[in-house]
Amino acid sequence: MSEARAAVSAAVLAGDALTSRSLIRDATPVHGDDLLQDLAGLAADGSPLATELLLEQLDGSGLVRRFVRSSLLDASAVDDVCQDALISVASSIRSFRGTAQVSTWVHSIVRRRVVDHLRRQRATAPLPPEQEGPAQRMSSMLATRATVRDALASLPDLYREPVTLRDVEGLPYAEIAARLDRNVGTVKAQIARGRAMVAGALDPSEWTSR
Amino acid sequence: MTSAAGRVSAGRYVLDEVIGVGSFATVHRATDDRLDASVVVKILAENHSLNPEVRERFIAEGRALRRVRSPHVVTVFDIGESERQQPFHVLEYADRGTLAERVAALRSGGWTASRQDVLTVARSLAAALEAVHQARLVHRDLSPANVLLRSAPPRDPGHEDSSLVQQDEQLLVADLGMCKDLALNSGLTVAGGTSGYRAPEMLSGPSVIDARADLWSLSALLAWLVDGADLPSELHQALARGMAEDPQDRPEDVAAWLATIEAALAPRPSASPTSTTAAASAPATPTPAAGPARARRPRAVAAVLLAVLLLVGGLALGRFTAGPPDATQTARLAISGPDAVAVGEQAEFTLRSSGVASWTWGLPGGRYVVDATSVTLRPTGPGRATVTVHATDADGTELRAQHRFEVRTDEP
Repeated sequence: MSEARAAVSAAVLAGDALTSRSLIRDATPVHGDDLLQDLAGLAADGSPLATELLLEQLDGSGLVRRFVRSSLLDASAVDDVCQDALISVASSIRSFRGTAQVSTWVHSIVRRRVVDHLRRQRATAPLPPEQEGPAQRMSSMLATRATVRDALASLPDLYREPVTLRDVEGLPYAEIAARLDRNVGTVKAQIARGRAMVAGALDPSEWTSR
Repeated sequence: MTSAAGRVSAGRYVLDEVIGVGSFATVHRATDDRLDASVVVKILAENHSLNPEVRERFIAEGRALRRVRSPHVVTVFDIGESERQQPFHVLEYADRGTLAERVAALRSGGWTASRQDVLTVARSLAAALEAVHQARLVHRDLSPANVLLRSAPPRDPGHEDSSLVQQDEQLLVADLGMCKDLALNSGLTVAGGTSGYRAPEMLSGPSVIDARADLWSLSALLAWLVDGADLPSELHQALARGMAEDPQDRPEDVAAWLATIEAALAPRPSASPTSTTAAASAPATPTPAAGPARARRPRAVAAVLLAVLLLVGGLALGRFTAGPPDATQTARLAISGPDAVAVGEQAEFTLRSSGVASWTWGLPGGRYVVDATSVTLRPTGPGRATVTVHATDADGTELRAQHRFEVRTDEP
């Protein structure tokens, strides 16, 4: 393991978000895959900070989007499935085994979410709740459930504010962006990642019980 | 999916008759409603459209084909998705049918392939595959049914004697073989490629398949074309080499393959005095230039100067005036490049042309490159060498431009 990777792991284990982010930002692209691997391993062991950083990397690097775009063409479908996939990654990160390649593991999750999406699209009848996408379900859980609100409260401010405005107060993306003085794309990404983090923080039985 | 008129549509494309059915996709002739044009829509089968791996392959094929730029490769206009989530490719429509149909029709009238027929097909397909390989793709499914004919403004060198490809037609290659990819990557048991045109290394399970698999198919296609024709035995030897069992025994790339075919079909009295000097500087490695996107402006003045120098030099030496001219009433060729190169130094030669649509570079060492705007050589030994460009103008008159240069050893 290189020094840079060791330093990131140490900062994550110490719970130092600021240092972790700055070390990741300065890491050379050569270490990109190794960093993902380290973060996923720490996240699987139960580190919420590692999960948060992993989601930021998967989303920010465009990896998830690239996988989704390789099988979907419609732009809004791509957005929806990216969110679904991030949530699935967060909620099943505990089952990640370090022996697997993170990108391969994420790709298989994306493929499952793509199939779900296509099935939903193909069905013409209105959807029963269990056929909603993970993002939709997470959104309605956030709005209605106390336990989920507790999980929401534990999010870093950066994510908690936009997710709360969106899923609890029901504001449109544009208005959230205006209120927080961020641009719409940033707000969308933060909401997607924030929802995924909430999903990751929840007890899996809570997440699947609906 | 079904419009009021009862016709099936995919987005703006109204599907007409089915012109091909494969295990993964159906090919329709179609009409682009907005541009009011005939196109081809290749749509993924419904049962495969929910399989993300198959979708990824199919969409990747469309995107990959888009990277290939050649008049001899079918153009992708668009990719889209039907209401039933079936991805589809929108492709150029070739209005003159397939090479398989053309040859069958001609054969029923007693036709056999002429030297010119073979050269036309070999050059067109070599240009197509070169473009495919430059995009780092392997076609994998070259067969007479995948070679199409379309109408085109009269062009292409050497069409005057070909009854196979008419003066106003052009050959183009369709369908990058996705079946092979799919069979390999999803564990499906569909054999890739078309029976009889499939390289041996593609028959037995997954293996490393490189661009030389296409040389096998290309040779097999020509062997099929020349069936029953009276052509030099050298041609059959060249084709047999292209179909060697071991890919290592085949020519190393498309240009080398074409060189063997051109040599086999060259007119007999070929021992001209210039050919000996050209051989002197032999093994040099031509690399077709990356693309036409390089700066041309600053070179224009130099090129004009060189053209003048070449003309003067040509008159003085007398040698250049032998053979076909470098200009006709409608077309013109000129090669610009250095007059002297040091051994091991890279030298670029650029063609400036008008009135020709396709041309062939003849390079030291007996190598050929089709349709490149410039070539780069790195001479490996001292001597004098010549680069030549052959083309034919719209009237079928042959043109030739030559550029001679000296290769010096590296001392001042």
